Amino acid sequence: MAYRLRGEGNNNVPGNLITVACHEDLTGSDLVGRYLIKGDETIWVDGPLTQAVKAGAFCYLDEIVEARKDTTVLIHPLTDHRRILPIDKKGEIIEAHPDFLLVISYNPGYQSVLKELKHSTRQRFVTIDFDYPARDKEAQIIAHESGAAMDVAMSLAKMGEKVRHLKASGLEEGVSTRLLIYAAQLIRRGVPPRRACEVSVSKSLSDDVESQRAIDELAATIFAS
Amino acid sequence: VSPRSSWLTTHLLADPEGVAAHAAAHALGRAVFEEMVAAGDRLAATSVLLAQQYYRHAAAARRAFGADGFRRWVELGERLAIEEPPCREGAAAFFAVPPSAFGPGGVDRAASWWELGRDLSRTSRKLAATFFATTASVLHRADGLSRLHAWVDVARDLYAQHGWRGEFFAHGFASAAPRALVVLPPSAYRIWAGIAVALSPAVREKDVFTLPRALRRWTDIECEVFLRCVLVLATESPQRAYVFYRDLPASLQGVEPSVRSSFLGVLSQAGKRLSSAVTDLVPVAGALLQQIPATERHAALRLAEELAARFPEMVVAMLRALPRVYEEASPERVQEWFASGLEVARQNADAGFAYFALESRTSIKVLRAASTAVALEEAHGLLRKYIQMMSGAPVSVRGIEGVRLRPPLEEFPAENEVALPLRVDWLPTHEGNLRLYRFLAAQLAGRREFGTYAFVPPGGAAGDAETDGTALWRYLEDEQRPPWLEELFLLAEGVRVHHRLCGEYAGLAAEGRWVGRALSERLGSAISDDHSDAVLDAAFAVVLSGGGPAEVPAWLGHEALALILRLVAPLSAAETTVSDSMRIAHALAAALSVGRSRGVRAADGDSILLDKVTGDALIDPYYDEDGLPNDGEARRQLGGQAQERTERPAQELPLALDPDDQTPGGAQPMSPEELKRLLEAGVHVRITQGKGEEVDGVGLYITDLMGKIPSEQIEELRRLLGDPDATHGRGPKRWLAASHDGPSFYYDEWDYHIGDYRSRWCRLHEVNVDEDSGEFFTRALTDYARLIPEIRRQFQRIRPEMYRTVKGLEDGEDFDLNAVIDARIEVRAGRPSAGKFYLARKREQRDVAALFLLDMSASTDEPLAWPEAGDEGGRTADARRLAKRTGRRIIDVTKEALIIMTAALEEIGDAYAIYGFSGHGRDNVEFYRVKSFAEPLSTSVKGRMGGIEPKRSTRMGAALRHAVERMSAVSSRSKHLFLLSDGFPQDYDYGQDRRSNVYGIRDTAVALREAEAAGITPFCITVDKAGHDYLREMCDASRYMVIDDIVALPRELPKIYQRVVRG
Repeated sequence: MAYRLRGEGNNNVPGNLITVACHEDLTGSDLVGRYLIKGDETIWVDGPLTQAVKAGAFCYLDEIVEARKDTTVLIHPLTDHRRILPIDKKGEIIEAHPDFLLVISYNPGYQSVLKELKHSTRQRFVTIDFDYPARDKEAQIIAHESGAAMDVAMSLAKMGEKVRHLKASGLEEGVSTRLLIYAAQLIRRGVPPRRACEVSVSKSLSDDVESQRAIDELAATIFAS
Repeated sequence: VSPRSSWLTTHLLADPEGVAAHAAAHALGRAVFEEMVAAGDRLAATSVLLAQQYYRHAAAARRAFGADGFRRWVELGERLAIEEPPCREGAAAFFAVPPSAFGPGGVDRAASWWELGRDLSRTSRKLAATFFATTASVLHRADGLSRLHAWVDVARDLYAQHGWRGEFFAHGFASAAPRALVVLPPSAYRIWAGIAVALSPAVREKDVFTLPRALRRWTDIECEVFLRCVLVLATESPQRAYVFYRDLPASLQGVEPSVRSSFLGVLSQAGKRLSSAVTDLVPVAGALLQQIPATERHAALRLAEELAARFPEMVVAMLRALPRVYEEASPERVQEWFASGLEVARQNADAGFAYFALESRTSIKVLRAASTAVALEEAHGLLRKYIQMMSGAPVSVRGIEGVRLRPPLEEFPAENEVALPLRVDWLPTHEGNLRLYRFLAAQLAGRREFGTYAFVPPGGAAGDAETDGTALWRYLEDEQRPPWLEELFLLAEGVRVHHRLCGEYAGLAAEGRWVGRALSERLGSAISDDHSDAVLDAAFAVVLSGGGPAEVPAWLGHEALALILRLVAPLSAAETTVSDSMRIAHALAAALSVGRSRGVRAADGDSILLDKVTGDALIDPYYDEDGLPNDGEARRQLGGQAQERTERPAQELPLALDPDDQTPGGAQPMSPEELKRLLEAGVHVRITQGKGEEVDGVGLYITDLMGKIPSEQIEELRRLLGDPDATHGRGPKRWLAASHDGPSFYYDEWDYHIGDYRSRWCRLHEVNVDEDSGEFFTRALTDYARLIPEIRRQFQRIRPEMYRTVKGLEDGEDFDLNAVIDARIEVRAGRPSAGKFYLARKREQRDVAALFLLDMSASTDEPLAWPEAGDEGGRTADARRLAKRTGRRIIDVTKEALIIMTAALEEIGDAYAIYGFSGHGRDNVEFYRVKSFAEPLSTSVKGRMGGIEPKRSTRMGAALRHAVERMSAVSSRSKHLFLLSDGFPQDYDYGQDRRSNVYGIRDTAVALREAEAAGITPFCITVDKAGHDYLREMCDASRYMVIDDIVALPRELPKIYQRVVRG
């Protein structure tokens, strides 16, 4: 995917990638398109999915499980052998561009069991699992993304690994690499490491004061200042 | 035959005393001798023995009393033997007293004494004889006569007033005279005699008249107060009073007299209300008083006395809690705590009791208010999370008394239980104490991270290491290890773990220095009245502070400390392992056992350190260095001399640590070679630093290290490990603990007697339910095949309409045509339109979470009652068929009901969890995990539902509190807790009175109210027909339901759910 994004530009859609952040109120119209009133007339505006289908771009539906199930079934005809997108309101059926690709992502077992992907949706995709990277890898990522020194990145990666031990017994979710990168960026810009961890890790992870304190103590253990 | 030949015989003259007396009589001259012998003749007419007894002291009496005095003395004895009532034994005893014993009073004193005895002989001749035989010892005292008068009065009364037993009492009393007459004040004689009477026949008078030895050192007033207490207690229970009488003086030995006297004042104030608690108090009384800070003892006892005056029954509880009270709070705070306690006690005696015993929540809260100490309770969650993050494994925290810088090892590391002090108050600020806690937590986590429990004993292969990590413990507990090895190992391992931690965690180096500096001084001051723990902790603190000898506090000996510092130095290297620590610990043990020379001991105070290490068990300082025994007693020299002596024959310096040649036996000494090898070959040893130092002769015999507190612990632990049956329930407890794989939780419990929570009263574990193969679940679905679709349909009906159309939005899925037309009209009319002409469909959320809490008590094992004939009208065909299946128990029906419930809930999409509870006692509340909110209805959940089995008791309160805790993590708008039980709450220690279930009912009621306060709606369902009686007390009528026919439960439960959750 990254290769194709880098390799082939497409004039119609800048960047060749359309990202949709899914949420509970995301409706079919939000994806496909809707009529808007403009002055005296109503005009049809393509939704992001329709745009991607037409242009042969990537459409990336982030956190797909957040969207309502009736919304997600919209993609079913697009993601099997038919590769078509019916637009009810216009009475049209669009065939997908050969280059069109649909990517979805979600966190399994996250929040509630109710938010699981329907099996019929699931089985239309090949699946790549992303877990937290190993400590060395994560340190490289942090260092690369934040420009922080490698030893800082290593410490943060260590911290990430340790904090994730608390998952399910105090924390609902382990600390993301992203938060660690934020911490690294703050540190690079001169924020003392413990303070950086406080604002970007402990406070961001939990509202539970005790968990926050525990993570702060961990930061104080890992960083000398 | 001359009477003389019958008494002045060879028999008398063979006795050296007789010979001396005879010679002395001759020496007085012919006339005097004749007079003496004539008196002897007269006495011999009555009794030959009497004459002989007389003759032994006759010469001395003639010399002491003069001629007249002598004649009077003889006359007194004679009259005693002859006059009515004749008392020959008494006369013999009279003559048996050497004249010097009468003191300066001389023969007059003898006459007064004689009068008393003569008087007594009119009551009983035997008693008088005993009197003369036992009371002479006080005659020389100025107050001797007055004591004797009092004594005789009591004896005579005892004899006269108690019928046939009186003779025994009086005789026992009189026999005890030699000691009691002197030890007790005259005013106490009568009380003492009264005790013997009061305690009979439960206690033999002989035992009572054996005066406790320790009383000798007590003042008259103390003795009297003490005896009065015994007398008062005797009216309640003779046995307890006797225990009090016999054991208290010994228990109070070592307590300073002024404190002892105040303490007795408290006891006498409390009076007979002490009785029930005597056995709790007496053995520990002295120890309790010693544990109260010396400066506060009097103040503490004043409080106790005040309490005794008002609420005597609570005094023992308070006395037992006092050491903790003073540990927890400052003296001023204790005063306030006491004042509020009086108020609590005034309102409710039971509450006062719990308050002064430091068991109630209020009590602890009042005491801790404004304290800088950190209690484990408040830091518990934080530390647990901290250790879990650091070590990556879940932990449960166990509280231990007292603070140590080297926390104890985990006995069973696989159980993930770590020990932290219940309270840390070493530092003046709250923050500081918390930092110290964190340091300890880091040490514990570090032990796990850096393989402390992966220890492999020397000679064992790595593969031999027990997976449960108990090898280390067992190695240290082995009797063949040097005593103290564990303590020294904790020091060495502490140093190692600390350095490894510092290598891994940059923040800990500074922390270690801070802790070290903050504690060096504090530990130094503790040393004066403490023992080895404090010394080794102090040494550790010095290591932590990173200080060189310059920074060593004055109280620590420089050279001794340098020795320790040098030996542990290799442990600062990277990649050290637990085996290195063990080697260093052995080296330390050997070094501390090295003999020391007089010179060093006399020269400076270095030996203090080692003396303290050994609990003040000093060795003979004059031992001959050349006469070192060759056995394993480990008298070694260290340092320069030691290295010179490396040529010693091998058999003199047995190697203990060589893995190939481990010789079990003795103290496992270490040879200088071994030590040298360690110092040189060990990781980066700073040997140059050590070589030049003059530390020879500093050390102790390791055999002297034994016999102190640790050996008691060792003994206990050895027993515990060696013989699980002898551990008084520890074995089963351990088994239980082993099956707990989660952390433990502490919950308060409501005690209606005291109207307060008992603090941290219940300990709850989460336990996994053993799964079955899913067979039960499937069978239940089959059995209720007809019911389930029906219930599903019902639930589908209550399933909310999933979407609702919302109009008047600025943006949405579609146009709201009405709004569009209106807007159009407005625009045409030249007015601005609101612009809100979209509509959207919003999801109507059913946001319900329900937790089912299942009573898994033993009573659910009961088989179902067979339905009465003709009583089956209300039952469905399914129910009738199932009811008749043999062997079904209450729990089976409950499980089936739950299974049907899950089918319904899956339909409706509500979040739900299922837990069970049981347990045995407040330390062992078990909370069984069947399904958590986050888990889907997986195969293993189905298996666990089938695997639910009856266990033990029903401690509902703690289980409910934990269920509430579990639900607090769920963010649903509507939360419901369903409690399914088959009877009232009950446990063997659920309330003081086992027969009463009021305590359990009240506690459960409070727990239910707590649930409501937490926004959770509880609902109780019971299959106990008598359920109305107690459920009414526990909760509102709308919050419970009694199912009369248990077979109907599977059908009813979904209905109840619908009704409750909808309502």
